Amino acid sequence: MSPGVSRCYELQPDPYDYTQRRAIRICLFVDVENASELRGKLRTGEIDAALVRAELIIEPFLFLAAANKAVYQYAHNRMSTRSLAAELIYSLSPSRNISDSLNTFGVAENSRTILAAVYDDEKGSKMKKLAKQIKGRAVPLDYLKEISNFKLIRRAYKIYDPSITLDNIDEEILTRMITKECIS
Amino acid sequence: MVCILGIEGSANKVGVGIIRDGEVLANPRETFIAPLGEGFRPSETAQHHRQKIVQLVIKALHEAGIQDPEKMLDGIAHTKGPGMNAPLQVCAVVARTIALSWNLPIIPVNHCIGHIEMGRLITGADNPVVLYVSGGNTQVISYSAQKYRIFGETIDLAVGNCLDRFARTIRLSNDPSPGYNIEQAAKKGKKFLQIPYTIKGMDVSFSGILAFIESKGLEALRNGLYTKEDLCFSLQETIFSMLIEITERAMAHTGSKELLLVGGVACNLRLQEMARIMCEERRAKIFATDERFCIDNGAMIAQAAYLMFNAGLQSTVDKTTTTQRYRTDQVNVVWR
Amino acid sequence: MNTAYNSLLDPDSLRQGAEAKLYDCVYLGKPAILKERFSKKYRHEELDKRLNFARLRAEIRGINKAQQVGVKAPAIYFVDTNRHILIMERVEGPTAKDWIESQRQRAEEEFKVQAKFGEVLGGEIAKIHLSGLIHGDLTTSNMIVKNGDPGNLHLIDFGLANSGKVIAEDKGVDLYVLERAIQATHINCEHIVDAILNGYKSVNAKQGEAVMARLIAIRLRGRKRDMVG
Repeated sequence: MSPGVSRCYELQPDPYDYTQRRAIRICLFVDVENASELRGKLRTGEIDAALVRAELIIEPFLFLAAANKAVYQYAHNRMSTRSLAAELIYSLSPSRNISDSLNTFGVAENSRTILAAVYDDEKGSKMKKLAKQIKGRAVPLDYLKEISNFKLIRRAYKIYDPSITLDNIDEEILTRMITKECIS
Repeated sequence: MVCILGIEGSANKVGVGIIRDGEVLANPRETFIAPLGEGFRPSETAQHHRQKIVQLVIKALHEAGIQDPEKMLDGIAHTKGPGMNAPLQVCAVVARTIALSWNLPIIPVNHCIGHIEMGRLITGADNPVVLYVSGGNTQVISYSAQKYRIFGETIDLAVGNCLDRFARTIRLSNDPSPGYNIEQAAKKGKKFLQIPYTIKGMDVSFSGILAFIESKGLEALRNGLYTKEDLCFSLQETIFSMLIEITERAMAHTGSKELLLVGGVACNLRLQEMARIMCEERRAKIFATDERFCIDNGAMIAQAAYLMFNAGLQSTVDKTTTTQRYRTDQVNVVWR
Repeated sequence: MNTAYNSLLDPDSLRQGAEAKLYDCVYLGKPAILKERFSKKYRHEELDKRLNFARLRAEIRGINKAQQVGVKAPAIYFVDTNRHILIMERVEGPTAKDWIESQRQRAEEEFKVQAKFGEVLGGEIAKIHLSGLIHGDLTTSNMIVKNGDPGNLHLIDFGLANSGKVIAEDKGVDLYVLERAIQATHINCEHIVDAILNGYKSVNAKQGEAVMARLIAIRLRGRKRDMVG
């Protein structure tokens, strides 16, 4: 993995409390050949990272918002899942069904593109270790635009109104995933 | 110097006030108090006003030291509306009579404008948002371009009307006023009953609240879960919160930093307190008057007429009609 | 670190709306607005808690529902239900209130552009009404003309919104409140109200007819109300 491909972002478990900070490192992988193997390693705990189907992510900000929601829930002891990585994936989903959410947004058996994220990896060592286990190519995050699949995203978020297009779908998705607990 | 005598009697109060260049020289008033459990009816109210009004004119002139009204007064004002027709007529007849016999111009005045202008005179508020709350009116008003514009109002009952009708159902006395007795009872209330809270934009609605308290409220009273005092307390807290909230909405919307409270319900000290806290929280100034000027009185009619007179507005006797409905925003405010 | 995003809050940017404090902030690198429904000291504690909570929920649901039918509203980035805080997309542009007034200098064009604005607005309202959502606080302060483009209108402040059992009367009141707010706020802007109603009717004729009938009845009620005392 060439240096500088992955990116690290600062998170805030409480957006108005600057003293509590955490970080997340994100890297986009394409041409992945061992998705099935990676799923196995996630199950056994050999890998502690969030591996997400990249084609369902329309832009990095949305992913960060979910990552931040996960650390917020963690800081307040309100996680719905067992790990921060799983919580991140669950937070991407508009659904409150945990296994459905993990199945839809987590890496699939035949995934070829993966958005990988590890928490608290300021120096990048964890990501380096993870990259060694992924048989694929790390590419800059900007490449996500080429990968995200509008049709699949529409289906995943159940967005069918014709007036919602590529221009405004991210707002709708953000609201849906961030506020799902408040709607019912 | 300009000196105006004003007559007010649009509801159950009848008053005569004399104002000379912003100074209140006299402002006597009489109140018709309806029997327990009843509201005031137009014909009885008019009868009350007929019996009192001449004495009030004489008393006002005497207090103001006006021996020669024809020379010392510059005009006679009366309430044109809004209000109850029969009582309004009584005042208009008296106003016409003395205007003709003393050979003075006559000035018909909008009742709500009277409240606003009196409030501005007494408190010195410059360009406030006005919360005007009384038996018949619930309005949040702000001035712009020669009109007092109504930003918020009730879409059904007036706040005072809602309070009065509630007072009747729990048999509180009308003496000195049902609102006053609710205020006193509310001080002893402790237990808060959840009452519907209905705001629509800058408007409020009270009909659902009244229906609720007349059914569920009375039920809770019969079951002994709540006392009369608790109900008064809960009703006041809820209704006043709604009023303060729409007022704050109007202040935020217009960007105003001043609030003026007027109208009979504005005498309520709890309402004044809530308004004061709201204003403190948004660093605005609050202006309120006491019962002499909050409650309908003659001086407020004289004061509005004084401003109109100085702006060259006066009428002739044949045009001094009264009207039950006369919206605040119908008046062309040429004096500002 | 390759990129460090700070979530900054600018304390000087405080604006106090009627029911919330608003701050400009940066959330995970994006310009955003933090909206805090603070406790109102003037009202009874129990009532205050109930209202703050109800309004936060109403706002979240309202924005969700509006966005679902393609009506533009700020995206929600973060929710804290304990402290009644929302972090939302910052929609750049003037409020409709300021925008309408800013058009006044433009004499001839003014009329056309404002009419366009009215039609767009009426259409957006009709769409949310059709989905069973009432905004509840339609004033020209509660909409943003994004980048000054009247075709790109965002509705904000859904704290008084309600959905569920919605009848023509509720929709009529929603329009009545807006009509009155425009009359009070904007002088000589009756044509905007007309344009709003036209835009409203054009979305769905059946709803349009039913709601116009209610609106006329509501207006009459307002004028006929007794004003004694």
